[in-house]
Amino acid sequence: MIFKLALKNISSKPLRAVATVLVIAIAVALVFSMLSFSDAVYDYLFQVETAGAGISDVTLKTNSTSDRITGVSGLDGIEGVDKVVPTLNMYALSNGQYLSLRGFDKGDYETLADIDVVEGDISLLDQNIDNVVVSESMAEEFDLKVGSSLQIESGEKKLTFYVVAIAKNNGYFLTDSPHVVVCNVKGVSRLIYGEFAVYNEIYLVLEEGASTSSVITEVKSMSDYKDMTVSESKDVKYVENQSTSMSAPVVIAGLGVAVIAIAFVVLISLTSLSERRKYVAKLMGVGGTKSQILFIFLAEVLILAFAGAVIGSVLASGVFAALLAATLSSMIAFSISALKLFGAAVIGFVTAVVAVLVPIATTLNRTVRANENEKKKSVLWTALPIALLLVAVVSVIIEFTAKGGKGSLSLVNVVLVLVALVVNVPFVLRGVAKLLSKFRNPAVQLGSKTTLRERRHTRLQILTAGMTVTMLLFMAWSVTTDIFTGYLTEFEDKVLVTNVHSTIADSPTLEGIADVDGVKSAVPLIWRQGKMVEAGKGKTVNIIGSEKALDLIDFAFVSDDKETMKQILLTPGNIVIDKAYQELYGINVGDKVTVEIDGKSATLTVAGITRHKLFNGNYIIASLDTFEAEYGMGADTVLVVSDDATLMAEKIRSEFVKKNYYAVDALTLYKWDAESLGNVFDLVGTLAIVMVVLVYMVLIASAVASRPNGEKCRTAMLSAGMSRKTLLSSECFEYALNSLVSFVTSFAVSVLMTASLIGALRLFGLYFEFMYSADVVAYVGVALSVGYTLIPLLAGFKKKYTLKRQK
Amino acid sequence: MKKSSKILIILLVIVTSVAMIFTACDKDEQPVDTRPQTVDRLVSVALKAQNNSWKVDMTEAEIKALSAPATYVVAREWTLFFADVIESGSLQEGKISRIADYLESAEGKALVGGEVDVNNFFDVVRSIGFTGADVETLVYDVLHTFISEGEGIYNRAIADIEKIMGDATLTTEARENAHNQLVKMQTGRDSFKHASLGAEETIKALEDAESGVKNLVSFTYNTAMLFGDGSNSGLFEALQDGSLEGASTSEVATYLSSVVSSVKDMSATIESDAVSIRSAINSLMGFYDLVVVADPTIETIFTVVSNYKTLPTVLPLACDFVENLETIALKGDDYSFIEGVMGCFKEGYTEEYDGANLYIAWSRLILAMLGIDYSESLDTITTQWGSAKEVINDLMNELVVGGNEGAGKDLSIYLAFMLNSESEEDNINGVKTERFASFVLADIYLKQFKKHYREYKSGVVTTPDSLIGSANFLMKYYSGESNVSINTNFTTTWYEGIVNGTLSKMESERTPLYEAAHYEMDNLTKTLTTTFITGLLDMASLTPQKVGTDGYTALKAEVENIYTQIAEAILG
Repeated sequence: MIFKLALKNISSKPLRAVATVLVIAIAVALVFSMLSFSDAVYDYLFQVETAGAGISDVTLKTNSTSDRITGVSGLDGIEGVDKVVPTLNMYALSNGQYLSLRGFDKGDYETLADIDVVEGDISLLDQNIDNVVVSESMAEEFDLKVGSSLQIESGEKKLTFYVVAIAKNNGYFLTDSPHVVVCNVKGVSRLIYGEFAVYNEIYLVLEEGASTSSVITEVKSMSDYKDMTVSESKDVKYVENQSTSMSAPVVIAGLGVAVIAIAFVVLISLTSLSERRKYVAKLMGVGGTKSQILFIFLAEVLILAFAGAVIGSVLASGVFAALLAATLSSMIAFSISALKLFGAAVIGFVTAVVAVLVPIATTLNRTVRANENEKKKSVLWTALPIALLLVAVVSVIIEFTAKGGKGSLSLVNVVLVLVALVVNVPFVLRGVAKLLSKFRNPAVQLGSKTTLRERRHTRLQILTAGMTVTMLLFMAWSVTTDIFTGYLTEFEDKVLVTNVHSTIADSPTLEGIADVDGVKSAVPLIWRQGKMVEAGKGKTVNIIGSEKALDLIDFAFVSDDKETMKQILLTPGNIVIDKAYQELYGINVGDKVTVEIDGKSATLTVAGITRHKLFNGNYIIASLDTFEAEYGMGADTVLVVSDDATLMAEKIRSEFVKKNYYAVDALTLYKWDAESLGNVFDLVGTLAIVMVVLVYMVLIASAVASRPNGEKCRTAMLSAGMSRKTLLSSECFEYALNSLVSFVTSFAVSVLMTASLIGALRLFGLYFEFMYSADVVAYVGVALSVGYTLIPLLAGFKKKYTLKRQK
Repeated sequence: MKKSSKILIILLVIVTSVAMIFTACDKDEQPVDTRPQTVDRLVSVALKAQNNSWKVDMTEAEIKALSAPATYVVAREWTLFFADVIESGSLQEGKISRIADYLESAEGKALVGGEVDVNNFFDVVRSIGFTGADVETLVYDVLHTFISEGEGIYNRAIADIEKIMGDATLTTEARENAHNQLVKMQTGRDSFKHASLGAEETIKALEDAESGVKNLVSFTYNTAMLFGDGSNSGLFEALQDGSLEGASTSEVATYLSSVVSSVKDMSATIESDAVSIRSAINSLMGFYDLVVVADPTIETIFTVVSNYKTLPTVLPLACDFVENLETIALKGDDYSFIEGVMGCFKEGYTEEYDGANLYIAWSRLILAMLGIDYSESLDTITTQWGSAKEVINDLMNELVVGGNEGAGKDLSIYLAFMLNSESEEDNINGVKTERFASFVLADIYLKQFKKHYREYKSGVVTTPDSLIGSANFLMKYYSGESNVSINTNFTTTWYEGIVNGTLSKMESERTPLYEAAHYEMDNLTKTLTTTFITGLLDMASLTPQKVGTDGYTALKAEVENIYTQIAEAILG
């Protein structure tokens, strides 16, 4: 009987039931996606980072890819080494486009990573040294099929290779930028010498439990490998840093989305609260016991919450896969964590159950009369919004005034300010409505008075919360994209020439590169990555190894002017860091920092501070002499500036064809990074759009679901002779009033929240200057406001104005 | 219809549609095997390259209408034989297309129209982009298939030619052509029958030595590609034409190391397979001696493979030399030796092919191969010199007295003869030079005789003049008399009598001649270790100069002076 009543409740309000289930389902899916995204980014970056090295533990590399060795003797004798995989990697051209050739010895092709063959037979790699495997994306771009021939050239040598298999874009082919071609080491060597086995990268796979560091130490002590860089194949710290940087905007935005999604579950449950209370009163009136009544609602909410949780769980993997495909790669292999899925489902389920049952339980403790005519709120309940507002104000003041108060407090404030806004916005609305109720216009007067008569303003709260978070998401999207675009703009006119001899800086013309027609400037430098121990417990930093970089890149000089800074850098051991390090880690001029590059450490002195969006401030600058003195390194790159970087790269390639330089414009070189990062930022935008849709959906559902509440009043007004047009105008005015209040408050608070958001990003080691795009925020607010105001027209309220129910 | 039924039907439609979409997407496209068509094109192009009017599918009437119908039949059989080998082998389809493209080109047509020799062979394979694996597989497969199935080529050709000859309307010219080709094919078929007993044994020997023979083929191919054969851009050409100008010393060092490592690997492989390789090559040569091949490409392959006989002896020596070179070249971190040698090939230093700088470079390289570093101090050089003397002695011993058979000994005989060829009356340790000359010439004439016999019997040449000449020389060598004339019946028994008589005489001459040669080699060693190396050291120590400068003129005079001194000291 009780269960039947619960089912009847559901079936009598099908729209409300569907809306509730949908909101719970979307909340579960979003919460799951947000919980899983960070790990997925880590897994993805880990796969990208290890795409070359695969399952190996130790990597030996020659200092330049043009340095090669002819044997790997002694390595297999080291204790703990299970497999030795020597390879020859080099860049070569095909149709004017660079390819990354990866040569393996016979039988070693899949020792480091599986090749996921889509078409063809990789065993044919053993049959001939000019057989190759290419990726699906390369096959598509180059119009290759199994059996197709591929012309590859290096220097003056041009050879034909044959495609024997096409592989999925995973494993070695994950990033595929430039396209990777897997073949026999002798096949690659033919482009340099002849059919000989020469290598420049050796991978060691260790036995289970073997010590990586002792193997590295032993390899370093062997004279045959003394000139090679020996390091761990998997730089876990680097992957952590990278994944934090990449996922931070989404984690924070996602947190907001998840919180809002859960809040919507609560709010959608509250929209029918008055009706439920009246129903409770009826049931109590006909003698229903407390437990019976509670059980009816429990059964109803359990059915809805269970359906929502189940649909949400099914939806979760799809939503997550879509998010990953849109941001990272459709090829990424991700696994659904059952625990996280269960956790998300439980959050959605419990939220819905609690949101329905707690108010019901409260109602049951009241008298029938009290439930029919809701009692005034308690003092504590009335004081809560003011208290929250005060706490938020104090917390924000602390955040922006106290030293070291940023970071976690910023994150707290993002949430606190939002909650304070949502809780207090009904007071603002009531105040405005009171003022407007004095207008003589009947629609305005009716709309204002209806607003004042309402005890709860759930839809206003939904609208305000949704609008604020959406504004913030669009804001975050705009800020990150702006910064990123600025970063890319800096590279537009630059060409990076690598694979140069380490002595290239000794040549006044940089072996002729500086003399190429159209070169504005050319600087030999070190352009690679290292680790700064003092920053973020060993953060990976980008090394810019030349004082001349100060002329090429548009830095802002914080501690000294440019010329002084250049002089400072000429003292060996001095470095210049970005202001981000000062802000994030408190590193100042005069401090000593330890920088590790390719396994070698040196203590350097911070002698200056600059500021630039480059690598999000994650760089250090030092002179070539410093690297020579401290690390024994020569220049590995020539940075060339010209009017047309693409043309210049081609020019350098053709003019120095014998030298096998790897010359690409910087944007192409960072194409993968740019696309990945751009996609992550776009995910923030996607979430913003999802949020708009979600907010609008919930608002419509809530508006439709709560229509019966005001029916009595509308019927009375119509009976009293009010025209349907005026009634519609009054409803439109009511919605417009809500929109206006929401817009104004959200707009004001968004400035504060943006500041806190930027502070919160520092928790993840990301440094952004404060940037606020009022236009972006305004567009979003206006769009949502207009959308909300139009609901009475779009939902056809006018058609439902009728006198039939009046008895 | 009830609502639930409607929903059920809609669901069914959706599920069926989705299933159909997935089935359609999942349908694997069966790859079309285009290899037979590609090989067909190759056959067609190859025939066209031989004669513009030839096609693979000519009707009997069309064939009979040709001026040389039997020539077409024979060419088609050989072409189809090679096509079968290629189709059943591992050569990539793209490469087969490239061969066809090449044969369609003017260059390819000229090649097919002319004589195929070893140099042309390398040009062709380079142009097509053959790898060592392609060449080794093709050479092995051609030999294997020819020995096991070659008789069928002759039989099919004979049957077709006989059919042509049965046509009474055939022109005189065509009939004559058919007759000549028929004789040639019948000779080939008969020789195959004669050799059939040994064919099985040869195939087994070949299969036993498959990896060794293949390794040898790919190694020699790669070495030829690497070092160049005078007509291509190998290492030597690259050094001389300045292609390596941009290479760093470390790159050259790696280059050198990879060569050394490759020679070492090959030497080790050959050493372990030496017995089976020799056995296979001997069997092949025995088979080749008996069979009339009648196809220049297969003749070339047999000739190339027969030359591999010397490799098991030469490779360990080559290995010692390149190891010495590597040791000296890679000494120190700055690769100063390589820098020094590369300095001789700088831009503007090698304009003249016979320039002084090249002599300096080669003298440095030769000394390094002997283990002497010209740039070291006098004391070190003296020590190295002592070692070099031993190396040369070892080399001479290996060539003269080491081993029981092979070309090493013949080589020493050639050398001794050449160094003492001023007068036939001169003695070498009591043996007249004339005897050396006869021995060496007999060896050369024996090879010529075998070739002339095959050519005459196969109809490649129609007159026996060359055969008579070489036969008479050999008869005179082993019996003191010669009586071969146009009236001689050139049977197999006659042929074997001359071959065995020559070999028997050579065998009896070998021991005293080797002993004499050994004596001569001792003298030569002394000369080498004194004058030759001193001269090379003098030359190596010179400073390379830019061509055209005053310094270069003086340098050239100095080099020529040293060169003359060395030549005088060695040659007397």
